[in-house]
Amino acid sequence: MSGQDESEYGRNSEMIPENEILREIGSMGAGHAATALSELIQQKISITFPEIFVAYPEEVPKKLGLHDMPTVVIYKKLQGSYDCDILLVFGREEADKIVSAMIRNTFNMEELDEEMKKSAIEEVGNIVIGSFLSAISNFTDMELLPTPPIHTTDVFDAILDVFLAKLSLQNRKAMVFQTCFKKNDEKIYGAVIIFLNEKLRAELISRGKSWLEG
Amino acid sequence: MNEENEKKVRIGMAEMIVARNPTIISTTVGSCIALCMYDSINRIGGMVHIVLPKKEDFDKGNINSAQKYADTAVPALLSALISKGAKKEYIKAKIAGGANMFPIFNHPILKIGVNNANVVKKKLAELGIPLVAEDTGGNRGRIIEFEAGSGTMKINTMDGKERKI
Repeated sequence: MSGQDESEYGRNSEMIPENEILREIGSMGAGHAATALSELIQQKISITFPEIFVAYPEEVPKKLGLHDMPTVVIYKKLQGSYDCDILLVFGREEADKIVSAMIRNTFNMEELDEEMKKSAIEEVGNIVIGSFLSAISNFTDMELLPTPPIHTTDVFDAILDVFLAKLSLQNRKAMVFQTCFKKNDEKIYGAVIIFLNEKLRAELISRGKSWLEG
Repeated sequence: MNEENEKKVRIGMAEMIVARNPTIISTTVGSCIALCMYDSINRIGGMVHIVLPKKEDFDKGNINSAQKYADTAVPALLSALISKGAKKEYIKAKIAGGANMFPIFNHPILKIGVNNANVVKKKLAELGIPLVAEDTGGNRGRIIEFEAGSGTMKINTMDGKERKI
């Protein structure tokens, strides 16, 4: 091909490795999260990584496209100087199925009260987000400590807007990891959404780069 | 800002639209505010989806920035309505949103909903636009449908409750 094509590639090539490094690290975290979720509900869960994108906060709801879908969102924040928000999102019905499977397998119970469901969903958050982060910590040798989980159930865009408002306050773009959880042939919708800050992003790229290069 | 004449149109964060009867404008808000203004005599109304209270504190040139902040979005919607034929003396306002979606979690950002509502009200008062109804606060998201011509606002929450203001 022509020299012009090479220069086009050259212009873009600075961007490609950084995204690829983040995708690589994110996929590793998601893989561990899938394993943890599989063990929790004793069914095989696989996770794909269909999308990583950077967008203005106000563009995020359209990119995720969930809008008025009833969801359960489990929220954790990275403590310390990495201060960034992590959301684990499930469709409301999928969250119920995960909690039921987990409690049946753990406590051998069919009947659940609301308090147990609440604890169980937050435990799902601990385990899935915890696995995600510990895989990344091990790989990058960074200390990534999350806050305890809190969760809420509501239409997705309403839950999302406070996080997007926060990014706007800090004049930050959103970097979103969207992950699909799949169980057997049945598609469970789930997403891990991490709003990276610049410090964490730069650190991940720098550590990822030195690992990948050698 | 767009003008649409379809039956139904949805807006997202920091978006604004002005439409004539019989358009229905919808959006979904948590801590954000849906500000609706309308002139029911001339059958024209508009909605803006406000994210944060004050432009001068934070703005560094994000997209749709005038519509994103309460203090600039209120005059922006008023001007848009007047430029499309509404008469200022007939214009009324309604607002919904400003919830705290994680009430057990104590973080200053979660007060953003209340601050948003307060700045919208203050700005409406400054501009002399009567706030005739509101459904703000609480800890539930709101799915909103606004009839541009009549000014009726239909608010749904996930617990299945529907209100009209």
